[in-house]
Amino acid sequence: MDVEDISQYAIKQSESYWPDQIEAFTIKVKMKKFYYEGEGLSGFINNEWRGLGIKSVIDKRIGYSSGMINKISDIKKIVEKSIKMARVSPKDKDFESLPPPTQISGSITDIFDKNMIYLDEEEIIKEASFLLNKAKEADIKITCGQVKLIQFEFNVMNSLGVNFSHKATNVFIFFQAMKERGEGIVKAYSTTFRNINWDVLWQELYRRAKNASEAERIKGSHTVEVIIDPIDLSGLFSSYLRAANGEFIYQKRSPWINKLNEKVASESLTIIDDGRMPGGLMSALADDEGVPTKKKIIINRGILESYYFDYYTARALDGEPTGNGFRRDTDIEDAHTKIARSNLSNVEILHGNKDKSELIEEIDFGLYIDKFSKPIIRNISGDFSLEIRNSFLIKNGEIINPISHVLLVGNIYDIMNKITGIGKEPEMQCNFKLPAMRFENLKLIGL
Amino acid sequence: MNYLEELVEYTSSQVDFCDVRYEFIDELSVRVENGLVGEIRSTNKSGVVIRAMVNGTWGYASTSYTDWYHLKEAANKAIKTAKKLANFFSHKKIEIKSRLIKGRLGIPVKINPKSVDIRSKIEDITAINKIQKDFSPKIINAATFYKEQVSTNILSNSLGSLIEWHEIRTSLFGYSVARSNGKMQNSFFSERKTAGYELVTNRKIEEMSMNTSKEAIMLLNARKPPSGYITVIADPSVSGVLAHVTIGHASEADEVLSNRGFTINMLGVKIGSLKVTVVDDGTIKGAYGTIPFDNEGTFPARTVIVDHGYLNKFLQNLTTASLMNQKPTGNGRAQDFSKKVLVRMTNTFIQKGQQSLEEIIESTNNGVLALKAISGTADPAGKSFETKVLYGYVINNGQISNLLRSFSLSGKITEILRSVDMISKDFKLIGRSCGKGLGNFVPVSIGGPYLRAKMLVGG
Repeated sequence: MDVEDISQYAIKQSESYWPDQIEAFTIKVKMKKFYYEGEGLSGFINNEWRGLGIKSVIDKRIGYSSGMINKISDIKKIVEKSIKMARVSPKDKDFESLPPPTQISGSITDIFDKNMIYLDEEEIIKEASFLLNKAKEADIKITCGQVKLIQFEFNVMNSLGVNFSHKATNVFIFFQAMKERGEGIVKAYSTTFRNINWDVLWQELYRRAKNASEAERIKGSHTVEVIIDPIDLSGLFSSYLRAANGEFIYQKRSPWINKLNEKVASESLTIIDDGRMPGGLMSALADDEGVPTKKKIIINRGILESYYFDYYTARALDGEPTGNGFRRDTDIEDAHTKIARSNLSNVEILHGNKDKSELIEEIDFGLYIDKFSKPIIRNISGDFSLEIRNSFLIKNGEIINPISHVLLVGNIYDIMNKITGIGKEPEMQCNFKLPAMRFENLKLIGL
Repeated sequence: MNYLEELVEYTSSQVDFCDVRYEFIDELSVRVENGLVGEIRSTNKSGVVIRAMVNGTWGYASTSYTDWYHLKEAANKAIKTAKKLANFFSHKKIEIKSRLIKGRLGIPVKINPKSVDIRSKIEDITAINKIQKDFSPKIINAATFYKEQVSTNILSNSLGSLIEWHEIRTSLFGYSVARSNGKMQNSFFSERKTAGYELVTNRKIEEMSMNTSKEAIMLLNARKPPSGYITVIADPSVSGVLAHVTIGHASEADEVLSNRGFTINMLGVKIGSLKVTVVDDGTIKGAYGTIPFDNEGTFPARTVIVDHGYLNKFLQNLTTASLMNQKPTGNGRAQDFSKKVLVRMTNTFIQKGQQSLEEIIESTNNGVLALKAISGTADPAGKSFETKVLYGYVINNGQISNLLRSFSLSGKITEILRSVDMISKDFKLIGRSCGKGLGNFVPVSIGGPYLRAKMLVGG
């Protein structure tokens, strides 16, 4: 049975229980993963699974159940469990309906590599060995590496007539290397294996490992201007943009409630959420609820222009769904076990007009930050103090030396009003397309 | 589950070693936010993983399809990839030092969550959420999450072992968001154990949920923390993060073998103050990281990693134990059947000392008390550590003074460990989820006493 057949069978099975509405999400995944963790610790993993998630609605009571599909009887069991969950669930006064069917049209390029999953293990290892061999020649140790290829296909169907299927491929590459101390990290994301430029990855890995090894400490507390590289800037934006998440607005967790059309950032900042970005990891013609995706501006020249919603939060707030109801994130695993919720699709931060050297030349005293230990900001307040793993000290417009293990202190909502430069070369980092950016007036604390 | 022994028999004739593990995970989660049930979700996950080893390299294949055709196909993939890798890399010979075990084990709990009606669970979680939300009008958001996980594993290997084990874990998590004069702050509580529904009915949950809202409101008026290299009194959550991310990860033998651990060639070397003893123990009753077996069928153990400041032992799985000529320590764990078995911690903590918290505070002239670790990470290769705490207090002339909002603690691992000069007799283990590499989350506990050390503070 293919994914559409399973969804259809599940909805048919539910009829005898008379739910008001029902939704089936079926996903089929094949994955190949090569991992390397040093001599004696390498291996290859092949995974495949087929999962189903059922959301059922009875008198505004919602239940969800999911499981793996081995045999047809598994589908019935999942449907029954979902109905059982709905029957015991309290009424949700804000629930209006599952999404109605909408005309879905258009096409997206570069999201499916039909040959990728059939690549032989040997070919995948051979490609990855390019990095391993280069490292050996340069006397650098690869401490950890991973090449992950995923092909997935899903269908979302509901009793109102939504029926949407989607097929895509994802590639994720991650390598860490060490010269003498510290580590350099590279990550690459793509929808096609052939697009991976192993030579560029190697150059970057070598540069970062070498710099980590030569990094020095900085003493005392300083006020600095910093340039943040796209690799971790994407993590910061991911935290920042939760403030525009419809669910955060609905649940009153966001500082941007009632701030539409107000200035929230520097005029140079424009952020677009684009569910149909060519080559985007999250791209599809519809989201995981079957609502058509679209391109929308979230922040336009510093002004908050829109929130992003799944169907439920959009209707609960009397807004229009934006095609941002996702169970998937960039890691497809366990997508069927989750209920679709408001999330970003692919995000583009519009690039500026400065190349990297200009961004550096204009700094009197500051840092170029390659990597934080964890670029995640969990505080509701937006306050952060992030440990810097790899960076360069900049004095009078020149790079002086690598610096590591210092803390960068600031507030994410505050620094977005202190942008002093945006690079002109955007990069893909996970589901973000963004350039390096420069911020002023941050606090740096060293030993 | 049928076919496991047949699969082992089929695979073993073509490889040096193999094991086959069937896993079934049954989960129920409930989310209540601002008084409304946002999610009631039931999830089953099941599948089989086949691991085949040829000349020291592993081929894995996992599948959610459990009929003979798909299982045999998966076995063939595992065999094929192990052989191909063996051709590609020159590996050291691995001799699996697993004991032959046949039997069944489980972790006993007081109230099996499956025996409690789902309506009661919804009522209980909603009641906890109400305590959080109704605490004050300043609480603009309160969320409460409940999760139960019941899992079964059956493992068979080419040495003849056939083991079945069962685990039950229950967790409760909640956060409250306070808002006043345009400022927002939050706090949280978390209880995670290898326990049944008794975790929810415990009377202290009511107090914890109330305190969460109280803390969120209190933090609205917290001050900016000081910055610099400062004396820190770390609470059990922070000393637990220190034990877990600095010592724990660096003592995982796969990290050592891949040249990442700062502990390479350091066995027997003093890496911390004599007051520091770090233990990993997968046998502690009720702790979140406790396991009947690891995912390779090895019994868990109590491993003293650091003994009074001296690095004593590494944590091992079957592969690393062979490569390092050590005994397996029962630390071969994977998130589920689709993930690789890595060397992972179980319950890792710094052992308690003799002093009271009051004595530590009284003997501190200037410093900060750091409370409620939010996250933690270490760079074993760069030898650094970082954790964030939700809040803290200034310590001035032996007394607690100003309340501080969230800040980070950082520094060189060995410098922090060597600076530990006081350890309390209070002790706590805290359930957490630990990821390694890219994901692969397993349940663990972190913990320890209050300890005093020098760290870099920034916030």
